[in-house]
Amino acid sequence: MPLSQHLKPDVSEARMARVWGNVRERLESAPPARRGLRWAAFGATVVAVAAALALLVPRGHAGSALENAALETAGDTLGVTLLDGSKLTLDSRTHVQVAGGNSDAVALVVARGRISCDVTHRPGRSFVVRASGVEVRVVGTLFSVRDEQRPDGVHIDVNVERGMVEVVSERHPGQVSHIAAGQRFSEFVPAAAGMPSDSAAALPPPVLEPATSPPSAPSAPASASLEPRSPSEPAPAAHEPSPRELLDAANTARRAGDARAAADDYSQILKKFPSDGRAGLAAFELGRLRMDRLGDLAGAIQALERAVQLAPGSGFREDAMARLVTAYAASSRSSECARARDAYLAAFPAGVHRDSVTRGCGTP
Amino acid sequence: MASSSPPATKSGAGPTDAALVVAARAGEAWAQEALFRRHARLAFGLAHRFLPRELEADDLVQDSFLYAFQHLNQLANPQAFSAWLGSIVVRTAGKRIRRQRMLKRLGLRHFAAIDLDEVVAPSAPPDVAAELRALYAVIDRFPAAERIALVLRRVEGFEIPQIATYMATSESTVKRRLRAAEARLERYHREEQQ
Repeated sequence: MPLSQHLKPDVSEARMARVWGNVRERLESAPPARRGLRWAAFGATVVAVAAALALLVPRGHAGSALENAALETAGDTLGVTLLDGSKLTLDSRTHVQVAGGNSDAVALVVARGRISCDVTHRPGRSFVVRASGVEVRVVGTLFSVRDEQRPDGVHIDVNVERGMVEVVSERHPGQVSHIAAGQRFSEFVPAAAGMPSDSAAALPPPVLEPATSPPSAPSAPASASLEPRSPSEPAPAAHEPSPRELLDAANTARRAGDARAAADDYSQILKKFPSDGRAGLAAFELGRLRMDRLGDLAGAIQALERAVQLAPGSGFREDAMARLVTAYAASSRSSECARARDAYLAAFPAGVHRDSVTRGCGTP
Repeated sequence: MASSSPPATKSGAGPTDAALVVAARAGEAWAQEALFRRHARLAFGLAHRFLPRELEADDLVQDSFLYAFQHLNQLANPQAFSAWLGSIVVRTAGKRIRRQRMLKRLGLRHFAAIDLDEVVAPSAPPDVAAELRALYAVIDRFPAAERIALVLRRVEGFEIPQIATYMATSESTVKRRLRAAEARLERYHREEQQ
């Protein structure tokens, strides 16, 4: 008899329903896989070619295990957390090279796509992100850098959500822009302009534009803009992660064991896109994380109640309702526990959690 | 998405895998769901043995079925869906394990230790439980290919040709990986005893 007989995967109906719900949702939302990109169907991939060389660098060397590593995403997003707690999130189709990665100097180069960085402040540590000649120097902040390659040229955008960064463009040497929270720096480099440093002086200086202006016209060799956003004005739509991107980011963080980052992303979906079809699933996953990983029963109850309300016909509803009974019981909220129990038994009289739910609140 | 009822068979066993695959290829959601429900336990079982943490196993199953449904046209023999899905789970697990190890080595991620009480069934005989606990206590330290081969051999009890099929490699490569994995396992156990 194989040893596998003595392992205990708990494949409850609720668990299967939840996974099937996710598969179905992704099938409905994902475009058919292209033959030339079969490898990409598995989503985010860490490219290890350069990193493998870097790993050979001995400890204590000026370089580090991070140096020369590359992070690349295909159809999925990728969230990574540095040892100091700084969080990086790569959008889909993003390639980021780690040009320096020792404990005192982190340097990332965005070759394409968009990276969001939530950088923990550490005195004496420099954190730099470069994209097509634009360098963003960070103290401790939340920001994103996008390097979008288009036929007409390269668009570089820096959005700051918290703190402040310094931005230096090699096309405008000697000029340092300080971008504060709520501001955006953008620069456009036409395809024909290139980036020769000796001709940089011939380029026009950066231009400050209102936040709502369209991207700079490609007639200029290169242009940059620094634009404030009013406190009430949301971030530009082009930089606002979609519900799907948020869900991908949350799932990526959850898979990698970063429950807090995942919970943050699920919460964002609920906050920003409460009427999206993914909101119910986000609420359920948030409830699970708070209950199982974050020890936040009150938060879990709130999220699970929301999941039941948002997705009445979902495959995870039964699981959510059963969890509510457990959570209320654990919180000693007996009347609400009884209400949740009765609701579950009414909705799923022969449900897979029937026995545990019946006993869940103690003696009825 | 519109759905219709699956065609019943005279035996009452439901449509064959081949029929479901044909319908699923045509985009029938009910056929995809029927394939999922029929083979989910196989996928969860395999996933749980490679990646015992529940959330990781769930994600592995999810990715494997998604890949399978998106690439059904590549399945030459529709009746062989189960074995094909198994090989997808194995390959996807390998990719995930490689990615985990890379992130861990780069210092980009921490992974919680496997909870052995969540892996081994309480009903397992003491000697079996001890063997499984010893294996899963160190399984995260194995390179992906060795880990996959070792689990398929030791835990699933597969023969070499079957492992080679699942891993899409030669039998000699499987043997080499198993030798390396067994040596590594012994070394880790020696280290733990010292």
